[in-house]
Amino acid sequence: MTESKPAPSGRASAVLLGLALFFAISLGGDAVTTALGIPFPGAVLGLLFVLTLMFTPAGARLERVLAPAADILVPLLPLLLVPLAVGAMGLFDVLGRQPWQIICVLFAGWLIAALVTACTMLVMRRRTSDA
Amino acid sequence: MNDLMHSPAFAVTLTIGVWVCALQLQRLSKVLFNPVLTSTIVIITALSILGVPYTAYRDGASALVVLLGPAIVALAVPVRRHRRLVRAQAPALLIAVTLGSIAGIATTVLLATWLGLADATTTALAPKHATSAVSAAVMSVVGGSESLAAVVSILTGIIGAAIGIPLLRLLRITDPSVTGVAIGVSSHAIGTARAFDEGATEGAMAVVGLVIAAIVVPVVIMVMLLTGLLPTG
Repeated sequence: MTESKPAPSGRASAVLLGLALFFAISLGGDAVTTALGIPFPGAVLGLLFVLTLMFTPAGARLERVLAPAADILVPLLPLLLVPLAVGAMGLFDVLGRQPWQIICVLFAGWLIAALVTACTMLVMRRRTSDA
Repeated sequence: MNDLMHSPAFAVTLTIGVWVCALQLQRLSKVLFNPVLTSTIVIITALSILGVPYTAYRDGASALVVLLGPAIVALAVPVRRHRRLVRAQAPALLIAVTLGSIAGIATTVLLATWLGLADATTTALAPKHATSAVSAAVMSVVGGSESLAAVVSILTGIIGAAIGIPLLRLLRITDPSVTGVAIGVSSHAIGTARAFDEGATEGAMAVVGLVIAAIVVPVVIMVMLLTGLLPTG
């Protein structure tokens, strides 16, 4: 018998503890952005907060507490966006009026953002390695 | 029967059921069958055939959407696992993501204006390089269409998830960190999920791109609105 694997009930509580913390941090982020009246989602503010903590000496401990829940939640992220994407059905009149123009704008904006980011990264890295 | 279709259990069963089938379909082709796109098309078709209004589905599916906030916060864990890589490239990451976001927004607004899109549509398209939660939040302040902003963010993510990595490879951009960041900036959460399919480094760097873009995009949009470069929604 190995001791490294927690018992099923222990693993479930570890996941639940992480989940509760993620909910609390996301809610805390919402409370801050609402109080300050800034156009920023609380969850992203919460993510920034946790990321900052992750780069401090307490990061290793925090990672151990949050990892069991994160390993379940992160792969589910695209599923959670599906109900929002279904919202397109209420927007057919707007999207259908100039569909090709909208697709063209989406694609061009996407391409330029990806290419400018990738090229800047490559140029900056070359400069660092040359220096 | 009608009551059943308006219940959260119906919306959740439909969403998860279709999602599981879409994941199976993705095995045939990652480019053609992006699971978010196929699930969305199947669910819209099912709701239209069954005569269930979107508002009823949305209310029911809120049981799933409530997990979106915690899932976004949870992205900190994969970044922590790649902290050495992130630390080593921190200045390049910040500059690349900021320039990439500004270039993406500028292209979107200029092209939308040139193609004659309505002002309200142009404004809703502008923050599409931030994850849908951010673009919707920006619109709520600007007074534009939140749902349109969220949907175009998702459509952008789907474009990036479907063709992003093959296209970057075609341009001989194969470095896992560079690919990851480029996908994270341009295609946020959906692209990030696709980047994790490629590898843990691609995924973690995509998260970094997504997070920096989530901060840069609202700031750029606000500056553009205040300077009149973007019409109010």
